[in-house]
Amino acid sequence: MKADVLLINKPKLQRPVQRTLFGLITLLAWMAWVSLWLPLITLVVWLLGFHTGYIEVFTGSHERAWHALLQIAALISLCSLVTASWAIYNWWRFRRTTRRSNSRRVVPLPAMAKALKISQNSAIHLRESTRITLIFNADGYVVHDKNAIPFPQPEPTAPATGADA
Amino acid sequence: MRWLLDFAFYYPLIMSIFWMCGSLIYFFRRERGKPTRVNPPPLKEYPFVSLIVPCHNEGEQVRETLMQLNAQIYPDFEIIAVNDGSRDDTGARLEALQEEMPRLRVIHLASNQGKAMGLRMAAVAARGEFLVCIDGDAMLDEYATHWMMSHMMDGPRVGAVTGNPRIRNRSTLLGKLQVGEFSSIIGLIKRAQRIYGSIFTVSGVIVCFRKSAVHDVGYWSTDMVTEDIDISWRLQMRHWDIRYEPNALCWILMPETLRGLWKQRLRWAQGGVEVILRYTGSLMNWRQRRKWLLALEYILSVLWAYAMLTIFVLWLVGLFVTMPAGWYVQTLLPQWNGVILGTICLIQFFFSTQIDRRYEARIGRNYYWMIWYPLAYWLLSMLTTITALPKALFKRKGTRAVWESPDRGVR
Repeated sequence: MKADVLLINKPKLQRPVQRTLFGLITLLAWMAWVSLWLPLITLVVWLLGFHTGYIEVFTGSHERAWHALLQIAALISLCSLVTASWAIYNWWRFRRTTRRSNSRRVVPLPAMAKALKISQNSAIHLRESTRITLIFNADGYVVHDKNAIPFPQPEPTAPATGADA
Repeated sequence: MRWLLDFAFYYPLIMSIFWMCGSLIYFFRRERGKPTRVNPPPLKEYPFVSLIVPCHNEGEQVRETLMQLNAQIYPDFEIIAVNDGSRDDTGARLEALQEEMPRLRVIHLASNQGKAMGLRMAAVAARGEFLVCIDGDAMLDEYATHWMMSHMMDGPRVGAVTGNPRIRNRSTLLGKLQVGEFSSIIGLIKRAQRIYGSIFTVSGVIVCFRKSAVHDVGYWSTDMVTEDIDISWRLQMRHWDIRYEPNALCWILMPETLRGLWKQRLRWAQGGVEVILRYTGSLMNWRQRRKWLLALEYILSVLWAYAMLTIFVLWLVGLFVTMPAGWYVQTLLPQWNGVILGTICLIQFFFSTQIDRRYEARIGRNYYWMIWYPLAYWLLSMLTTITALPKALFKRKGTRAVWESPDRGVR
């Protein structure tokens, strides 16, 4: 199955005003975002020496920007180191501990019924029916079940005839 | 005051870097060069699997869901639909579908008991040792069961495998943002958490459980608003492993109205806080150390929401009252710190869309819309967390969680 078949992408179901508004305000948000970059664009302009006059005005910002970027670079290095170390430790520590005594155990139906506080009879009906209705009391416990339809019994096979034998 | 601003800035920055590092390690170790979704490696054995679908008022989509489920490329399975006190025609439709699908079994709950109770009853009915659970409006990819079972066959410690939920409805801005969010935030976090060794939560909409593991931890809690977060914690606290399988796709419907989105996110936030409140005490021993980082991460995210609220209140008060210099917040507009946080966030989206291309073609198209995410969703996340904490703290003990029909978007 191609995933695209399942997608529901029908912007036209929105009112035109709503659609236009969302498109427009997203464009404005991008413009606002780009404007936030002006200090850094200014930094590039300064580095290239196109506008020496900006040096006095924006020097403080540049120092701050470089400081922040260096700080982030340090943070990225530190976080990468911590994450990788922790991942390697986890792999090393638990690489052989895959045994689990109770994982292959099939939980018996009576044990399930007891844990879930339902009667053995209801549990058996639930397990053995293709359709069932459960009635609950106000405290959320099953008080009884009804209309259980059991699995269809397999049709008996015809007895072997002498000719087959 | 300085420390408050520093925390508000550094917490999302550092977490984002951690998520990117973790997910890149995951990608290079477990995804790159591995078989594609439609060519899963054969399994050693194919045990019988029970596919469980709890439904509440799903009449409109239940046929679509079950027909898709019935098309699983897996040799031996049954489908159990739980009609949980629906008021629409879900029950009648399920019974009609039984005529077409011999492997479909139906459990009617006479009254609305909630998803956890539906799953509990289905677990009793299930004849398989492995339970694949999806929601009544979800469409499970044909290969998903095979992929999830590959982990179950891989190791006896695996108690649950969570799949990769993908958004179907993406007509509106909210829909498009969630497409990005599920790949960039949720998918990335799950990959990173697999590398840390512990997953905060399985996605309740697509998850496979080992029945003996679920029995071991006492089944799904009926008094937690998010039964999936709760059982994830209990499984891992009993040292069952939870895996993430990105190839196990499940196409889901999400809210496309602000009201629907708010209700959903508030429920998620409350579920997280409830779990932290209930289990943090039990984590205080060395054997639970793999959960410490997760608990710390969640507690810090709650503190961050309240730190942001404090900054906002200080700014507001500062408009009318002369504040001491140390407590004066000049502006809420994003400045240089905002540029850095936004950039890191957009880099994160870029990474995730590159990783996610394996699972959905043209996912990069949503990048245009993601500019809203840092503002709109962090704001939403902050507000829901702030509201969820008192709701969870003052919730009456033992209150049962029952179904509420969600917003399913523009269709």
